[in-house]
Parts: sequence; structure tokens; C-alpha cells
Amino acid sequence: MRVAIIDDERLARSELRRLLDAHPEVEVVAEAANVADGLHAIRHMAPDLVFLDIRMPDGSGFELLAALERAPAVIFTTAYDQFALKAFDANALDYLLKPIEPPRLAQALKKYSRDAAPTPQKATDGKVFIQDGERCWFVDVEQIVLFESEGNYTRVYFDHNRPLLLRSLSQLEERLDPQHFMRVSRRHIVNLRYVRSVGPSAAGGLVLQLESGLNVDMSRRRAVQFKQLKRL
Amino acid sequence: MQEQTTQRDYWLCQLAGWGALACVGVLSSSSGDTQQMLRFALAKSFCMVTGLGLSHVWRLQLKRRAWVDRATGIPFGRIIAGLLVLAVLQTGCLLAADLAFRDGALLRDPSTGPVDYAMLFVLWFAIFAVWTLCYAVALARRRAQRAELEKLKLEVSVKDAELRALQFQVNPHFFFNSLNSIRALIYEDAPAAAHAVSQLAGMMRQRLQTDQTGTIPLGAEMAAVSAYLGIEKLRFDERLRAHIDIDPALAATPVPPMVVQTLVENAVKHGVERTVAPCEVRISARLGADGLVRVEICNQGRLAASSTSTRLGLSNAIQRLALQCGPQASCVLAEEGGWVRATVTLPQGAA
Repeated sequence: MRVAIIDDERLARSELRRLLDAHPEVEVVAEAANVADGLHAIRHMAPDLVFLDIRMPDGSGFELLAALERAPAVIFTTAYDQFALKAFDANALDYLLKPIEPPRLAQALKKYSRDAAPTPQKATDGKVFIQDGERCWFVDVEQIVLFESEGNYTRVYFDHNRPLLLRSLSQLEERLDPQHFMRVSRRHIVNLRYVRSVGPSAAGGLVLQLESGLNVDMSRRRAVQFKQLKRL
Repeated sequence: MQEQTTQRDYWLCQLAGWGALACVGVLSSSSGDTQQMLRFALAKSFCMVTGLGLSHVWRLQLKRRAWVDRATGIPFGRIIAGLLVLAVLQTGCLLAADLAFRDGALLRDPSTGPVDYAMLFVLWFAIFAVWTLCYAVALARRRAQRAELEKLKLEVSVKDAELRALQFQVNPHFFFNSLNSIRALIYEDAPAAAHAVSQLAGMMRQRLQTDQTGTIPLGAEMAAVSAYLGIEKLRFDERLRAHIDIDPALAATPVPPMVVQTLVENAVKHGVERTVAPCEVRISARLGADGLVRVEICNQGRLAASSTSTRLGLSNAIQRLALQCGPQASCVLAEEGGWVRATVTLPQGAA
């Protein structure tokens, strides 16, 4: 298991590294003392799991995650910000309170191996971290039904939530699996897994009815592509 | 003092009320004969004096039995009975005055019938009833004002207590991070860990034991500040560069506890915690030519649009300075050339 430690205090990093020595399956592949270095480390080392502090000099751990296209598995480490973590949906992630107790660390690693570690049986599109105001989500990309462009932002539809993501639709399109996600118009990317029915639209294109009851128009040009795709 | 004001207001109202009645009485005593008129005016004035006296006795009665100074359950029956007695007595006084000053002009006038006496009686009953009403309204207003004042006082003291508690509280973030650092140090550098535990203990003891309302010598405050900075130095390493330069002659200067500490904590929070590069924090104390001591707490950085908690902390510090060190004491926050500087000004031998 390849892990990264991101914390602005040297002693805190050294303490966690020492605690991780007791787990031979864990290899610390990167350390960073701030958000900028942390982003760099995650992008270049692609760790399986990140131990992430919340308060850092150049931003928060949440900001770091929101800047990543794909959120890694994360265990937050914090002295007293557990309240901030209550904003998450339950069980989405784990956190450790500093000073970290060795049994809690062992438990968190075990939970990671059980729930979050990638296995050959379940190849996933990964997760994306979304922070909108006070609320945060770790969302499986497969669970997202629809992306809707709103200027420089994109509204993300999943379950009953519709938070805004600070990323353009085109940026997202590059990162999404074209097998499942299709740009159906200038403003929308649809997860094809959630298309319930397709009908003709007044504009000569198609109307996609999604499982959550949303209707999305598909432009005429895209409709031609879509029909070809479906014929294959 | 409030009781005195109340008494004064009462007598002012009494004199104004009865005086006005007397004036109206005298002015309406027009008659052809000057001597008759004077006698009539004298009789009326006498009645006003007895009215004043009776109403004062009535007030003592009302006060002692608390008949009107209550929110509910006013004994109207007894009050009306009292008013009847007052009206009888006052009508008696009036007749006595008639006999004494006007040789019984009214009593001996054959045209005066029982109806006239009844009218006089009703008139006085009405006057005393109005008096009682005014008195009750004044009491109710005073009660409402007092309640309002009490409420305000309570609110202020609760806020004050909360603020103080906040200021003396250890920042949990600081506390747990420090423990984490010390835990790491135990394995890395045992003597340093031992030293850190002593520093943390010293700092905690200072907070728990200090009397929040008194003053402590600047030297004692700075010892706690040094201990605090020593621990922060462990956490932030080379990111925190602290310089302390206190004139030893000023160690005895009395300061309100936690004022310098709060400002140093703010300097670390807004300066060191927010920057990746090393940040300097300088603390100095000097005696100015004007005989005032100036303690300066500077940190590199900018004066952020500070949070409400910081502002509350600062305003509380200013308040305590003024309260415990007199009007010469102050605390000012300013930004200049990449430094944020908090200046605490104190008299050398205050309080």
C-alpha cells in the first residue's frame, strides 16, 4: 500500500511515519508540508492512500482534494477539526485525531483495505471530491447522473444533491470515460447508464429521459453520433 | 442614589400637581370684594395643603401594603374604600377651612343643600382617584425600566464572562497539536520532549491560576508567552522566528493577564500559520519619554479582514486594559511595510 503524508508540521509527519512503521504493508512514498507540494506529490506519485491534514498554511485539505480531478482515498488527520468533517456524508471517509492512537490507525488502515482499496473485481472510475459552501461530498463518478454547465462552474447531479464544481464542462469531458459519459449538448454531459428512455425532440434532436426524472435535450448533430453509437 | 432620585421625583410631582390645583383654585376665586377673594383663595390653598398631606399619607399606606406596586391582584375594593375615606376627610377639611377662613360662607349659605356637599365629596373622590391612577402608572413605568435595566446588565455580564472564558481558554488546536509534537519528540529527542512538557505545564498553570480580574507583572506574562512560543517553535520549526526583547527594568509593570498572550497568539495564527515561508514574530517592551510603557507585538504579514472572534478578543483586551490600568492604557493594531503591529501602551505603575 503506497501512502502519502501531507501535514505542515514536521514532527506530526515524523510521528505518523513512525506509527506506520508498525505496518509493513505500508510504504510512505511521499511527504508534503503544504497544499501546493501535496498536489504535486499526489499527481506524480499517485499514492493509494493519503493521510491529509486539514489546516495548512496555503489552504485546507479540502481545497487540495477539490483541485484534484480524481480524489484519492483519504484519511484525514486533525487535532481538532473533526467538526468540519461532520459535513461529509456518513462513512465516506475516515479521520484520525492527533495525537494518533496506534489501534485507531490500525483500524483505519483495515477499513481502507476492506472498502476503498481497488480490487480486480471492481474496477471503478474513481471518486471525485466536491465542496460547495459548507458541504462536501466524495462521489463515485459512476453515481453521477448528469453534468450541467453553468459558466465556469458545472452543476453535478447525483442522488438528491446538485452541488457546483469549480471546473468547466470541457475540462471534465477530457477526464470522463467516453464509454459511459457522453457530451449530449453544449451544456450537458450525461451518464448513459442512467438513460431510461429516448424520444424525438421538437428541435429535430433527441430528448433523453434520465432515471432521476430529468429530461435533457440532445442536439441534432450529437443525436446522429448517438444513433451510430447505439447501432454498434 | 436611585432611591433619592425617586423621592425627589415624587415630591416634584406632588408639588407640581397640588400647586397647579391651587393656582387654578386661586385664579378662579374671582369676586367683587378683594377681601372676600383673598379669604376664598386662602381657604382653597389650605385645602390643597391638606390634600397634599392626605395624599402623602395615602402613598405611605399604598407603599406599606403594596396595593398598587404589583403586576396582578390589585385589591380594588380596599383602594376604593381608602379613596372614600380620603374624600370624606378632605371634604371635612374643606368645611373646616370654610369655617376658619370665610366664617362659614358656604356652610351658612341657606342655598347650600346636600347635593352640593355630595358634589364636593365626589369631586375630591375623583381627584384622589386620579392621583392614585397617576401614582400607579408611575410605579409601573419604573418597574418596567428597572426590569429592562436588569436585563441589560445581565446580558452584559454574561457576554463579558463568555469573552473572558474564551480568552483564558486554551486553543484546542494548539493543545492537541502540541501533544502530538511532544509525542514525536519523545522518540526523537527525549530531553527536548521533557522540556516541552515543562513549558506546556507552565503555560497551563498560568492560565488556570491567574485571577482574571487583577493584574500580573509583565515579567510573569512574558514567561508564559515564552513558554507558549517555545511550544509553537516545536510545531512550526523554522517557519516561526521569534525575537523577544523586553527591558528587564520593566518586568514589574502591572498588566492585565492574557492581553500580551492573546496578541502573540493572534500574531502566530494570522502570521505564521498562514505562510509557507518563515515568519518573524517580534515582541518588545520599552519605556517611552512620556513615562508610558509600550509593548509591541509584530508579525510579518498583512492585516487580514480579521474574523469576528479576533475582533472580540481585541476589543476585550482593550476593555480590560482600560479597566485595570486606567485611561492612559490602550491597544492599537496597525499594518506597516509588510508587518502587522499591535501596540499596548501602559502606565509603568498602574492600578
